[in-house]
Amino acid sequence: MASLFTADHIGKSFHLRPVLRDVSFTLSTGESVLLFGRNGCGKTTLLKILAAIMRPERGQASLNGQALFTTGYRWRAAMVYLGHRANLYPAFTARENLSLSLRLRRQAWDEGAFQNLLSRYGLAGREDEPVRVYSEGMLQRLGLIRLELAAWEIAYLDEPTAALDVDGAALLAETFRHWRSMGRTVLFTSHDLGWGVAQADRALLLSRGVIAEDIPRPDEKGLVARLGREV
Amino acid sequence: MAFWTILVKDLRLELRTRESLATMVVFAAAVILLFAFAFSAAPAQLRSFTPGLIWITYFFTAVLGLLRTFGRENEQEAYDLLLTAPLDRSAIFLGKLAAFLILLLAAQLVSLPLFVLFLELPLWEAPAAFALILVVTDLAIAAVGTLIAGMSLRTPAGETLLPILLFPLLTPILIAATKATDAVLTGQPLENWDFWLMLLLTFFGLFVLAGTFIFDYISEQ
Repeated sequence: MASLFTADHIGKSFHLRPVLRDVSFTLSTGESVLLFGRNGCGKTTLLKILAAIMRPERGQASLNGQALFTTGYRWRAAMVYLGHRANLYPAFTARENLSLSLRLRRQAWDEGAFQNLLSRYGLAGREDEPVRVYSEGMLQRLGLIRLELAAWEIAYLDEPTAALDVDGAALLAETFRHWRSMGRTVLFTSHDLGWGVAQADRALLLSRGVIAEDIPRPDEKGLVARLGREV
Repeated sequence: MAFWTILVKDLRLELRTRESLATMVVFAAAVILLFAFAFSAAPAQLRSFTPGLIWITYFFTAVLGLLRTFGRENEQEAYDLLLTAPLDRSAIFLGKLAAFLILLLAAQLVSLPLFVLFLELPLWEAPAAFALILVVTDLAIAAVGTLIAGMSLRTPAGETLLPILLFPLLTPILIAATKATDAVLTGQPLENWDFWLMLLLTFFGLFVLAGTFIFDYISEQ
């Protein structure tokens, strides 16, 4: 597979305590890669840096050979991010939130695709309710619809199954397969390692501020054992 | 394009919830009533206090509005949607500035009659000059406030940090607005208070320029 993304020597500290010391790795086109590690190891920080929400103290990343952090804003059209929370405005309806998201990306609204996705994710008929009445699971499903409507090459997903029920997690697994078939690359975290390894082509262990191990074709037992050794 | 999207988004959110406007108007009304009943001053004395009272009231009203306007960006981490979008982040700054300016003017439009009613503010004596000072002062407050709120409310202690950073920067604006308002209310010609107007416009210009250039940098954590 062709290399799509490279992270080089990324570092970030909070209150003089280094969280990321020297993070380097590559991602290939169409890969789904699980980023795992113990709580507080910097997974969310790394995803936020790659998604341009946080600024690294040092290091660089490139997408399709183009440097990211120092070259304007247009590169962000090629990526999407879904965080712990759904990145939606609670007072807006589902339709308003997703239409805003597409306007910000300069993409046209596709009512047909929106209705299909609402049905697929079990939110049909709820699109004109303010999302403040949604449960966490419904918000997460809506966040995934936001990703499905957008055009992108690489996605950063932080705990995408955290609030999903069994059906939702199965649906997301199917979506991962669909994305892979489209040649889309996904870097994601998940505390549900069983679910995570089932979707992942590769796993990256983030430990003590560096990518400590790059594991091809990971299995759950192996990852749990590695986490155990981290204590 | 992105500027309008952000402006319309903020105004629609406010129309939907009316949270910021309600908080700002209720606060301004409460302070005006407090001043009205706390000071049993003669009309001439009241007139000398009024310019300061107006701008102290709107100074804190603006801070409340900023806290609410930027605070709701943190609910469900919605602000990340703006930061990850492929848009020039100066559009976020300018869109939020314009939306906050409209909000502040709306809160003043509703609460100013209370100044007339309870503190005998003689608005009718120089309405155009007063409106000019109001708009120019609001432009300066909105520019400084949006830049500082955009920076501080992305930090963990943002709500504490905002007033600490904002009050010293807003104080010269408060002084200039008070001086200009006092001059207008005492019937002085424009050349006696155009210095204060220019000072307010300078603040607006400098902070819009600064915000346009550095908002990209300060909006990331």
